[in-house]
Amino acid sequence: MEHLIEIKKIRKVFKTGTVATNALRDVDLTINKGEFVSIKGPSGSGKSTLLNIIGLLEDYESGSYKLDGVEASSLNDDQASELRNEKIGFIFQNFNLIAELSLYDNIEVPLIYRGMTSQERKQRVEESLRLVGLWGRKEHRPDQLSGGQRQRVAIARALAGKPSLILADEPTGNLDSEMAASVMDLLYQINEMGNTIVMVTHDDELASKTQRQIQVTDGVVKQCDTETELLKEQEASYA
Amino acid sequence: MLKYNMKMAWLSIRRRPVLNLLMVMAIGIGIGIFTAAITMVYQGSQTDLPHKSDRLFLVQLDSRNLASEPVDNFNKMIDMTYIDTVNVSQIDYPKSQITFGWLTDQLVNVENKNVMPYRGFSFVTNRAFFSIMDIPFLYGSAWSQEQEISGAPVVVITKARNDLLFNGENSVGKQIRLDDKAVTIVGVIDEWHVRYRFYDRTFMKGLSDDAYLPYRYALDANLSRNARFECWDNTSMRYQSSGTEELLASECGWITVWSLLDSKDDLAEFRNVLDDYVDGQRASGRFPREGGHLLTSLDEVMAYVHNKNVDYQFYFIIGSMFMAACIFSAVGIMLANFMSKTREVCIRRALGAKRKVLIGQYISEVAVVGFIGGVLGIFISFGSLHLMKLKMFHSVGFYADIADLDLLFKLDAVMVGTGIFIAIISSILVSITPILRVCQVKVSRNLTME
Ligand SMILES: Nc1ncnc2c1ncn2[C@@H]1O[C@H](COP(=O)(O)OP(=O)(O)OP(=O)(O)O)[C@@H](O)[C@H]1O
Ligand SMILES: [Mg+2]
Repeated sequence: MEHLIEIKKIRKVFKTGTVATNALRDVDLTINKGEFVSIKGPSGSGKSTLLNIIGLLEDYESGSYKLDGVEASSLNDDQASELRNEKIGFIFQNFNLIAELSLYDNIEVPLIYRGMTSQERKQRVEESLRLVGLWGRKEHRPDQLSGGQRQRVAIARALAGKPSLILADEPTGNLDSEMAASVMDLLYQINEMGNTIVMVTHDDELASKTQRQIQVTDGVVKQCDTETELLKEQEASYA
Repeated sequence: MLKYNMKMAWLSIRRRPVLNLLMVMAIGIGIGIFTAAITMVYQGSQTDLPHKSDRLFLVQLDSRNLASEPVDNFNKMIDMTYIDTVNVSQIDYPKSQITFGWLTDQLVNVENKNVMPYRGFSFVTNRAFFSIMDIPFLYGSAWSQEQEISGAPVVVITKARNDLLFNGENSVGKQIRLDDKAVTIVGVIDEWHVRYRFYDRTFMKGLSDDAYLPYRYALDANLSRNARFECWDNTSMRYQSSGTEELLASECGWITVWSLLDSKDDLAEFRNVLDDYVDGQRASGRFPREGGHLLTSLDEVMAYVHNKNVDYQFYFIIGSMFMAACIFSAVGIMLANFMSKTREVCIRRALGAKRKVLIGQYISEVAVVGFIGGVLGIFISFGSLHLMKLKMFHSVGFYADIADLDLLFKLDAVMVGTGIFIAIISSILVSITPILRVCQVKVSRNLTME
């Protein structure tokens, strides 16, 4: 198996004034190409921080992170931007849509910076908006949509560029169970096409359907690779 | 990318109408006042007849007595005596055309009882004046050589006066009365304006002539002479309306004389011609002083006049200070504007925008704002120039013709372009720090915030 993500002994500390928060402590994590991994953990445990580091949005105090064989700390800001643009689709926890742009224009943003022709862009935007069932509202602005609809726009934007890695932070957090199921179906589909997905979720049921679950507790990552391991842990706790 | 940037600029301006309106106002007012000021400075420092101003020379001959102060500047030198004016204009030197003149005024009236008599100011001159000054004719032409020599009672009037007296119809052949003397119209000139009345050395703005009269007739009819008479040691006012014969034979300087050379390369030759003339006059006892002639090109004359124009330095300083104040407030507005884009910048960076691409996008945006501000500024500038023109028109007084001031306050294409260009450049300059700052923010911090 080829490693897409190789994280070794990463530490992340946030300093706010005199307070230092250890968001990640010596995290080791390896994710293979084509995997669908879920990250679980209590609020404030460091899940978003981990996802941001994977997405080259955040730097780290120590350790090493290789994305597709490239050491992240060797990239400058613009190189990181370029890599994100080509390879990574983000579904942010808080959507991060641009308020003044229509849905169409929002989804077009990453495609613009990739330098696609307007013809190509239109095709991609339409494709992904149709996928999330919002093509009919392409002229609307984000503040004219419900939370769930905005989430779908965020997903559409992440998919429009056909990235090989999708980083999803609570992609179903604002959706009812029916909508959540259809989003999950979408993610499975994308995963089956060979794309790697890393998804943060609170929902144990959704997490259990992914190939691998990772537990983050207070900045520490615990791998729960297989069911046997989980069982072993349980047994150990009863012993 | 440009198309995209323009679209984003438009959306952003619509999204923050108040901030952008403030910015457009700040730039607009600043540019408006500044462009008005530099337009006045620019137009006011232009020289009329630019295609011949380097070969049109003010001719002065120094026939003063030995006791007079030495002078090297046209402004301090006396004007020409009648003797020298006539002699110089008759010198056989075909590469130079001579014109000269002085002001006169009469009560003008016509048969038409509907037109009130008015005091008209005429320029007394020779027929070469019209061609040397490039004066276009609407009807008729200048008086003929014969009419000039014989002192025929003829007149050339302006379009404005023809409109007033004859409803703009062809009035050639008709008569008007100057005080109690009837003169026949031989020509009506079309619109013709100069920024400064240089040809009679008054350099007044906004004062045009009502009519042009041939000099022989004006002298024979003893029309008033509104000139400054410098008669060696004393200045004699009585020549204004009397003592014509005595004046014509005197050493009083009072006539402004111009020579148009075919080429400025003829200057040295023309100087020799004048020297020869002065030497000849010395032989008969005139010109007691050394030297003799002073030739000053219209360019040099106007450079001297423009230099004395402290008004314009004042306008320029006021305009620049206004502009600086507006730009100063624009910095604050743009800082607020771009700080409100922090989130958007982070999103765009996260989605793959390189820093310089984003900087380019925002520079395009402020260029659009600057352009709109510039257009507003041009309107403001247009309005303020009009007000300044009216102010000058009223201060010049009753005899002014507002059309004469148009040239001095004209916002031409160059100035419109310059104004808009400065508007765009200055909005980019005031925004560049906020733009660079916002494009420098740490991406992740603002993406996780709710
Ligand atoms: N920019 C920041 N500055 C300071 N502290 C931060 C910053 N970002 C995150 N933290 C802190 O780091 C820790 C991990 O935060 P993180 O957002 O990764 O948690 P999370 O697991 O995603 O939580 P949730 O489930 O609520 O989204 C928290 O204690 C948080 O307060
Ligand atoms: Mg989070």
